[in-house]
Amino acid sequence: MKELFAQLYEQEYDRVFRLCRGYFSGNRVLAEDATQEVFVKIWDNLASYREEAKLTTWIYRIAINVCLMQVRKASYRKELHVLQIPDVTMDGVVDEDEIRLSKMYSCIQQLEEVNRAIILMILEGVEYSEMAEVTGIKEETLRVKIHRIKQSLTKCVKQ
Amino acid sequence: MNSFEDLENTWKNQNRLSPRKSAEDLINSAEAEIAGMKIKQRGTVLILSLTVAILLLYLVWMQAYRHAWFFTGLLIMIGMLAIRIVLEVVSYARFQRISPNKSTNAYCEEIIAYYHWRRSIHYIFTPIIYVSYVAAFVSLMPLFKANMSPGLYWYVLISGVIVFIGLALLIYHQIKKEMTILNSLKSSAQEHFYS
Repeated sequence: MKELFAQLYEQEYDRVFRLCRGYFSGNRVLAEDATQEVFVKIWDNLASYREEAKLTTWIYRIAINVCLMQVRKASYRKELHVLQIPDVTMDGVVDEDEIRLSKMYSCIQQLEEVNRAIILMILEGVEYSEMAEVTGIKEETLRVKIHRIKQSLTKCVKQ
Repeated sequence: MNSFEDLENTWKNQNRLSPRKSAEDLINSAEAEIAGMKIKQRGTVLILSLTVAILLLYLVWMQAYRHAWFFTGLLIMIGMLAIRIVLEVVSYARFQRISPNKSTNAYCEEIIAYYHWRRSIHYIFTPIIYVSYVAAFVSLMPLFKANMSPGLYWYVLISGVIVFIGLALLIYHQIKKEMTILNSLKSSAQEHFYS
């Protein structure tokens, strides 16, 4: 069990972190805390994983559900409220990609919560069928939503 | 340069981040956190159970069953605490059954159902339990005064008032916190899953 967890932790940490970061306006510290909480839940539930869903689907479900609840905690709300500029600059180096990334996080933050989960999975290249399994939204409904969310994000980043 | 494909590329080219902790350290802190949560959740039940035990001992020690008023007052206090213990245990069991590895839709439904249950506890049971407990305590004050030394009587009176005020504030804070979560979840779920 520990070996499987260590493997998952190594493989999926970065992906889960990016997803959590999308929920916390790009803030690294809050996202790292949430990512840790996600892996605590993964460890807590790993024994009950029954292979009914793909392991990545299972992890995405936990990640999104944990982030949804974490973002509701009063302490996180306060910190997010204070947050004006997403924390994406690294060592003072700011290039075009960094600025665009910063804008992306800011625009993702403006989306409704479930739309946020959807766009984050699109950006990670998750298949539509897997997204439907993660969110519980029908694939046809998702397709309509995705089109709208993509347009909305692109428009927001351009502004 | 800002088509959706560009955004996807920017997203995928983000710097990779290494975990702050090793998997082994995370397992250790996860185990500690899970144990801590269990202690916290069982703590309330433990405190309530201890209070019930103390009240029962007091009832026997004072032979309260010989005095109808005294007996009734103590029984109401013990009964209200017993109801609270049952509600806490059921709440804990219901919360434990909610697993985050379900779809977001199913998870939100379960969390909303849980907080609805909590709301019925807060708005129906909690006021009844609180008012009955305080009323029983107040009704016993003349008996305490007659049977206790003045010092002990004032200690019971003042500490009782402080505990009841503190408890009311704590309950208010907890209800406010849980209802904020419930309202936020409901509005989010209704907008995305049921519209």
